[in-house]
This record gives sequence, structure tokens and C-alpha cells, in this order.
Amino acid sequence: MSKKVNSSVGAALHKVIMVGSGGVGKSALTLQFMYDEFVEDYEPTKADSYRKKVVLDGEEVQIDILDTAGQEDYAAIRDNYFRSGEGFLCVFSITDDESFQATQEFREQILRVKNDENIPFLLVGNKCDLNDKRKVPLSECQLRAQQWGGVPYVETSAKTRENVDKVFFDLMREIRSRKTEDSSKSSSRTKDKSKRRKLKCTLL
Amino acid sequence: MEMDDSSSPDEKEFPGLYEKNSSKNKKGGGEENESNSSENLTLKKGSEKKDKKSKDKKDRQSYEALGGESEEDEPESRLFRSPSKSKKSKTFKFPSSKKEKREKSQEPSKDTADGTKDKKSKDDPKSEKKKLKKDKKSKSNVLPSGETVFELGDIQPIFGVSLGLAVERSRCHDNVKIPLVVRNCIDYLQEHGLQSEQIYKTEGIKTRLMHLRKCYNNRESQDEELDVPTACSLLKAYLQDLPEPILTTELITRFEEASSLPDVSKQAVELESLIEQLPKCNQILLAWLSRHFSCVIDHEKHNKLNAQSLAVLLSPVLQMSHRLMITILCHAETLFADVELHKYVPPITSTSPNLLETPEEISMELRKQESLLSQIHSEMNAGFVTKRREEELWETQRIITQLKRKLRTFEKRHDSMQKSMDTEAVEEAIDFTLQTTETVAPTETKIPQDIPETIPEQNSQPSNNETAVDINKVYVAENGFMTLHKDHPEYLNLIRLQLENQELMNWKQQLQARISVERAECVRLKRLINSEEPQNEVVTSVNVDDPEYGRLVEQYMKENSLLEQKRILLSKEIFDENISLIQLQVDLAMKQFIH
Repeated sequence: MSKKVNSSVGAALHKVIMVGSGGVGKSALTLQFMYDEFVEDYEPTKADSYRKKVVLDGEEVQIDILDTAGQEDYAAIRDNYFRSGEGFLCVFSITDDESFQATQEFREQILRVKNDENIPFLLVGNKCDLNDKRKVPLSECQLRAQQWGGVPYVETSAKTRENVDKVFFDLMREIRSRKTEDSSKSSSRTKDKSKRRKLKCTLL
Repeated sequence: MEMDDSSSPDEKEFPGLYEKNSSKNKKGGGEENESNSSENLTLKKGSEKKDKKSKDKKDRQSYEALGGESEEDEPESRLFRSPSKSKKSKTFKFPSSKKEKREKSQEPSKDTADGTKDKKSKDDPKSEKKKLKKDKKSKSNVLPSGETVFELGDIQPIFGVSLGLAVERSRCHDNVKIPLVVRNCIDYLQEHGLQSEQIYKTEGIKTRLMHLRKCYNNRESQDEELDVPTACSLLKAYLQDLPEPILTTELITRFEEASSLPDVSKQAVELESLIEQLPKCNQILLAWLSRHFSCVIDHEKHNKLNAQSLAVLLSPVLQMSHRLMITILCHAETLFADVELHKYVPPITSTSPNLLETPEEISMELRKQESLLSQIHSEMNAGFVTKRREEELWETQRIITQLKRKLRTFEKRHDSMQKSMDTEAVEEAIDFTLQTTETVAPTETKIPQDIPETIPEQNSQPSNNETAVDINKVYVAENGFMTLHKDHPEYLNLIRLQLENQELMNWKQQLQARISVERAECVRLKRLINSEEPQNEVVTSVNVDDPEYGRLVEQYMKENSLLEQKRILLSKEIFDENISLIQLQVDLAMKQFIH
């Protein structure tokens, strides 16, 4: 683990946070993306963090993924993570309407902590391989994404790996363009922005 | 653990300041604190409740002073968290205390501290104005850019607060509940100081001490090595700054009385019961100090300190009488028999070498990391959200995730090993019956003869043997050995399969044994590498300078790749040989069944 970190000083680091109800597949998506593995057995996450070096549009970058707990029990520590996240994958299961309804609250929480309507954000409908058990109609998902100021909506399957890379890479692109945007109109912006801009110079 | 009000003055200083600064950027600014602290000093001197040590630096005093009358910490911290809003702090009180409670459930030891904080935050509105005033001043005093920074150490220091708080704030993550600074000093002195004549006699350099104190207050690691006088002085400074004697104001007189008991055995009994009544962290600190002092005295030959002289030097620092200290030293061995001094190994960082190989090491490290993580969380929940701490949070989380994954693979490996061991045991049983073939088949099972594939299942349930009777069925020998009636066409086939199975199992076992030997060797070598790193570097640097170097490297690489190919061929050969060996062995064993 040490080598990775050392060798990549200077590479851009994008911090992604997985949010969503328990059991929707946040960890499964993360592990599929990180290690190409699909874990069948469910084990609730408290918090897990991963780092991976990836090539984003020809540029070598690092992605930090923080996989959070879906359960309310860990809400206290969740805020500390939310604050330092640069982009969010808000995950629900298309086979579970409750998890879809819960995304509303996660969205609000994130906006509250980040105080930024345009924070890089993707709505992710997971378990799309179980389309026959779908409980949340596609149109409803798309509608919600639109209501949230047009955030992208993507359906994934951690099991078949469908769109797994896509959601992470799309989010990283958003984060990246957000960072360049911020640094260009830097000084005039508020403190929130200056905070984000600073994330580029990573200390290790 | 006990944290009375007086214990936590420091954490509520300068909330006003804080408030404003929170919205700004924070980065190192120790100097400014000094400046505005001196100003506070003049402002608030009267209110100062517990300035004890005159030698103490101004800043500390001023913080205490402020803490005495205006105590708020929590609301401020919340502001810190959400910099966009800086209204009345009271509005934010609610969510925070909730948060605190949640946090509490994870760390029960913390609750006293939180409780007091919450209580105190009530009088914030009063103090608000003062703070704002100060805020402005300090800003003008400080950076022209208008950026003021308050470090953790200014608001939540380690020195000068109650022991319980200090332990909470500056943990040793291996679950030894004494403040890190004390642990480090004791560790250092145990390792380097016991034979030194300077120990507890020579004072360390003032500026160094101040620097170290600041580092510890800010929870920063300090890279410079300690030295004997500095370690002694730092330890003494810490003890001296405790707001309460280590034996507590409540019990100190009873301790003194106990030490003047004429009967030595009674002394011991009384001391023991009194120590029992001390808060846990006081007990542990006392134990560690006493054990350490005993070690110092044990080395009197070198350091020229005996119990008497050590007590002369240190009893004032410990705020106890000379006699009491000697009494405690006398009984240290028995009183603290269960305490053993061991050096602190801090949690690994992503840059430290990853040498954890055994599950035990990993779980121990995991506990440390969890402790570190919860400390980071509590610091952040208290409002100290800095870039560095956020990085630390993610990194620690990452290490924990990796350790957990590693541990899980160990568990899986262990499970599969366990399983294979079980099957091997069964195979051995079969082996046993094979050699005593005459005793075959006293009992039978109902397994149909035409399904040899079911053999493994049968193996695992040899208890089935007391069933049914039919010549054409599969028999299970006493020890689980499967066989058919001798006249059955599949009779030999079944035996052959089992023999093969047994041989393959043996082979597997051998290979597994070899693997574990190699693994152990890997671990050993890794350790070696780590301990001998400097030497290695020297060697390579010499080689690189050599002009022949390139040619040499090339030659070696060629040779190595040749050897590697040979190795692959050979291992394939070994593999094939082994297979034919097994066939032959099976054939041999079959002979006794044929007639």
C-alpha cells in the first residue's frame, strides 16, 4: 500500500463518496470497481476507504473512494467524510422503492454539508441485472435526476459490472471539470470554493 | 476517569476567534497565539482560577483564565464545521449534542468530557462579545492577510488539563491509557536513560521543551529524538502542570496518612485500597511512573540515584511528600505487579513498511488504527477540521480497510486449510483399514453401489455404518473405509480410486507444508530487510558507481532468465514424475487386493 501513495505524488486526486441506504450495493459497486470482484454475501459497512490509480482520458489520476454506511447508526462519522468528499455517487436499488425514496434525504444531507448545489453528483440505480424485479420505474428515476438540477442518472449492476466503470469515470470527469472551473474563477469566489480548489495539492 | 470543570478550561478559549477564523483558511500560526494570549493575560488575570505554575508559559495561563469564565466550545466547533453560517452559536447547540451522544455510544469513555462540555456551553452568549473583540485584535496582530489560525493545541491542549482529558485527547493507541507524551518520555528513559547520570538531575533546554510541548499540544509528531534531560524535563513539566495531584486532592491526605503508618504491611494494604479508589487513568499513570522509577533506582550503580534522592528530586513534581513517595517506591513491585512497561509502537501510516504478516499482528494493528480513527473523528466533531486531519482521516480509513481485507483473506485461507485437514483425517482412516483388509466390511450402508462419486460424502459420515444388509451394497469398514463385496465388478475400481485419493492427499499435504515453510521464510527475510536497510543501501551505491555495472546487470539478467526457464521445466518434470509415482504406488497397493 505504501508504494502506490509515494509514487503518485502530484497526480490529481479525486475524492468520491458512496452514499445510499443499506444493502443497495455501494460496497459491491466499489469492490467491483476496485478489484473486479463481486461479493455475494452481505456485510454492512461502517466505513471503508480505497485508493486506486486510474487513467482518466489519458491522464493518470488517483481516485479515493469512501464507502459509507447506509445505516443511520453511523451518521455521526458520516458528516466528517461528506465534508471532504468532492463528488458523490448516490446509490439506490431499482428493486427497492424505499431505497429510492431515501436518496432524497441523502441528497439534502450532502447539500447541507457541502453547501453547494452544483457538487459533482450522480444518481445511480443499482441491481439493473434484476430488471424483472424492478420496483422503481425508469421514468421516475430520470424525473428525480432532472428535479435535482439535471444530475446524470445511470443504472448499474455490480454483479455484471455493467456501467460500473462508467459511473466512477463520469463522476471523476465532473469533479475534474469542477476543479478547473473553480481555479479559474478562484479569488472572487467564496470560502467554500477556495476550500475545494485547495484539494489539488494533496498532502500525503 | 474524572473530568471536573477545572480540568477543561482550555477547550473553551477564544470561541469568538474561532468563529471567525473558521470560515477562513487555517494554516500554521503558533506565533499569533502568543501575542493575543499575552493580551488576554492582562485582560483576564483576575479571573484566573488555576494558574499554578509560575514557570508556565503565558499562553497557557491566559487560556486557563479565559476558560474559567467563558466556557464554550461545542457551539463554536459547529460553526467551524459549517463555515457558511456564523450566527448565534446557540442555534447550533442541538445538533451537536446529538452528535456527541451518537459518538458516545461508540466510545463510552468519552462521555464525561462531552457532558461537561455541553453543560458549559450554556453561558456562551455572554462571552460572545468579548471573544469577538479579541478576535479582531488578534487578527490585526497576526497575519496581514487576515487569516488567523487556531491550532488544536491552543483550544484543546494536553498540558495543563486533567489527566482524563489528556488521555482522551492524546491516546496511546495500544490501549495503555496514559498520555502519549508521558509514554514517550518513559519509553525513551527506559531505553536510553537508566544508566545516565543525567537522569532527573539535569534540566533540558528551555526552547526545545517549549517546542516539544507545542508539538504534543497540537498532536503533531515531532521528528527529533529526545535526549535524557529533555525527556525528564518534559515528563516533569507534564506532571507539574496537572491541575490536580496524581493522587487526587480528595485522597492525597489519606495517602499521606497511610505512608506514616508504622507497620509496613499495613501500609501496603492501605495504599492498595486507596489506589483502588483512584480514577482508572490515575492508577495507570501512577503504576507506570512507579515501575519506571523502580527501574531508575535499580540502576543506582550507574545513575547514582536511590529512592531517597529520587524522592527529593521528584516528590514536589508529583505533589506528594518525600515520605509518601518513598513508601510508594518501596511497594511499587507488589502494588503494580500486573503492570509491565512496554514500548509504544504507534499505528502505521501509509508510508511505513507493511510488515504485518500474522493475523494477530494485523488485528492488533487494526485495533490501534480504530483507536486513531475514533480520535480523529472526535477531533473533527469538536470542530477541528483541517486539510491535514481530513487527509489523515481518509488515510487511516484506508489502512483499516486494507487490514480488514487482509484479515479476511487469512480467515478464508484458514477455513479452507481446516477443511482440507478434516478430509485428510478421513483419508487416514481409510488408509488404516486398507492395511488391515481382512477386517473388511463388518457393516453395510445403503449407498447404491453404482455411484462411486458418492464416496466423499460417505467419508464424512462414517457413523452411518449400522444400517441394512445387502451383499451388493457399499460397505464401510470400522474406520470409514469404503468397499464393495469382493465379487462385485467395481470392487477393485473403488479401492483404486481411494488409494489414488489418498496418495494425492499426501502430496497435497507435503506441498502445503512446503508452502508454509516458504511463507515463514518470507516473513523472516522481510523482517531482516527492514532491520538491515541502511547496510543494503551502502552496498548498492557502490555497485552503481562501477562502470562495469551495466554489463554485469545484463549478464545477470540473462543468466537469471535462463535459470528461470530451467526452473519451470524442472518443476513441470517434478510434477509429472510425482503423478507417475502415485500411479505406481497405487498399482503396488492394488496387488494385495487382486488375489
